[in-house]
Amino acid sequence: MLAKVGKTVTFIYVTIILLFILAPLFMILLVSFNPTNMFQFPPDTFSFQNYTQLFQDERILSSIGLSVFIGLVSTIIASFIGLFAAVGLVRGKLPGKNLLESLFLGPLIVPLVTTGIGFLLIFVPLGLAGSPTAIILAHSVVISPYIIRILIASMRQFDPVQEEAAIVHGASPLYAFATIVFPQLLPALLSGAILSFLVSLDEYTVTVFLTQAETVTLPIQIYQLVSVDINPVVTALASVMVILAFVLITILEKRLQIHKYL
Amino acid sequence: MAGSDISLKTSISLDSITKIYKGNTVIDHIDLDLQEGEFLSLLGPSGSGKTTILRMVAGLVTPDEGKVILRGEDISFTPPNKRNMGMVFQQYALFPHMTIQENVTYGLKARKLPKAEITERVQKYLELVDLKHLAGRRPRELSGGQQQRVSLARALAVEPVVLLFDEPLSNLDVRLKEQMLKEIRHLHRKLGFTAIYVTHDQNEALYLSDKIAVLNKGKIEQFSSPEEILKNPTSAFVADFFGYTNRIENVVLMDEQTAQIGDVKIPVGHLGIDAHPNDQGFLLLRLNAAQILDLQNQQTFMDEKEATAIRAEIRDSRYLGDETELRLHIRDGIEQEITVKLPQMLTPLPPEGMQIRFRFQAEAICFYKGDGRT
Repeated sequence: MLAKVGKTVTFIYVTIILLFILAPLFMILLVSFNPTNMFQFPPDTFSFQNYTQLFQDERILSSIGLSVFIGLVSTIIASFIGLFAAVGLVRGKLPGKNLLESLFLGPLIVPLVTTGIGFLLIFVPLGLAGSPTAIILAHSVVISPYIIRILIASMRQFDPVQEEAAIVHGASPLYAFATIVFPQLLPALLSGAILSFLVSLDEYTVTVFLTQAETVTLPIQIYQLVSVDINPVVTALASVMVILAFVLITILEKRLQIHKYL
Repeated sequence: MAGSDISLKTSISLDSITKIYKGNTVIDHIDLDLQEGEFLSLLGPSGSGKTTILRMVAGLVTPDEGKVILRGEDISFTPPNKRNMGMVFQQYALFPHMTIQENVTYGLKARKLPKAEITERVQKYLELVDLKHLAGRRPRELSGGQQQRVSLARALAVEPVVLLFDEPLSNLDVRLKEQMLKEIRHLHRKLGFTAIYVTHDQNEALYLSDKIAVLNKGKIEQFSSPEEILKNPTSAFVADFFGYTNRIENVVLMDEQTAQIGDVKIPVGHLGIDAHPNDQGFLLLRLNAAQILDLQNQQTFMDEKEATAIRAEIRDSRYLGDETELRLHIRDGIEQEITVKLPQMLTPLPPEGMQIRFRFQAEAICFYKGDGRT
């Protein structure tokens, strides 16, 4: 009896939480099929007009291209930073390891506005402000903590005795790393990279300080679409991003089992 | 078996090696010599330093003092991958992302051997450990015993100058352990490799070894053949390790074959180092130290035809498989307890409180000087 009540309460609780989390995303999806008025709910018309317009809009397409490019390059840079940092932090015998680890995770803790202003102060004197390079470098810093965290967790789960076995049987430390450690870190690295790519694709707060007319990333573009002329195309764009994110997260969970590292 | 000219050659020597961790001397000036083809066991409780010695031979730990010498060459600071060793680990340490075949191939590829030789050797050693049919599987699909055999094949395949074992059987159940012991001994006889085997199990050491080094707190307590160690453990620590589990305190050594406690004389088979007549000390006894003369009632018991018989009362009794274990409270002025094991099942099980008589068996009794508490 009591168990049944408990089950029901749990069910209602979980449903409410899920609704709360997913409601905005459902709203966007619903509204994206209404080309006339994005603030009308429930929508009174149904069409793919927003989607067709989306794929004809030069500004949006170029900002998608730019964001994907920035996302890929900064993910690659962050992967390298993350790999070296995680190996060093878990295996290294350096003093102040814990402090260093906190520092590496700093970008997760410091308000992004602060980080954004900081980058602006660095890139303006260098003449880089507004360039894709600046955004890529800034994104690499902002997203690397995700990769570092996941890789650190994965490294800690890795049994160093495997590496010893490799070395005793004739492998150089580098060969052992490449053949024994790295292949087993790969799922974690891929998980971190996908997560980082999503964060970069979505990054607004830092980017807004570094953007110019030629470097309008996707989130900046979306904001402009909403703030300047309330263009309903934005709902279609947002829906595409939501679906992309869901697909990638599903891959993370099903194929790479990211929960093991979080 | 290796010819006598080979067996005379020294394979590996430890020359006064010492290791200090955070101010603790975990290995204290240890010397050891091992001949080609010999099987050495490092035996000791956890914390005795046995694994550290093995890791120094492997090169995974460097000595703070002293040298590791391999075939006359100082390798104390040679990196592990240049030492040409093989190692079998307690937790198998197989590479989970590789097949069994790839695991065994690993060391050969790392050494960049010619392809044909790699193939030939991998086949040979997979066959030797009887795992050829599982070559394409991954480690997690194998049982613990099979995984340890893969680990053994991986180590054998590099044809190491010394094969190192780090408690390889302690994760296996009793039956598998028995099987693996036989296999390791068989392979050693067949291939004649030089081996160092770390264990805390004296039976493994006795079964496999040509030489045993018993370690205690970073020092060697005794280094000799299994027979010698069993017959003549030179210290109470070693005796305790090899089944001398009973203790009788407050004993005086009369002569080299007799100890005395109160009015009772106890025959002594072995003496610890530095033990001399008139020394105060204690006895260590194996579980077979008492020969039970009778398990009968008071009448026979009063019949004194055995002058050397000792009286005792049974305090506890139980069956261990087909043996019987008795806890005896010794009378006749000794008033101490010992545990003895009889090689047969006594039926019925002797009840608590029953009086018996027994005779001490000299060959199962050692005398040691002092109180052995240091």
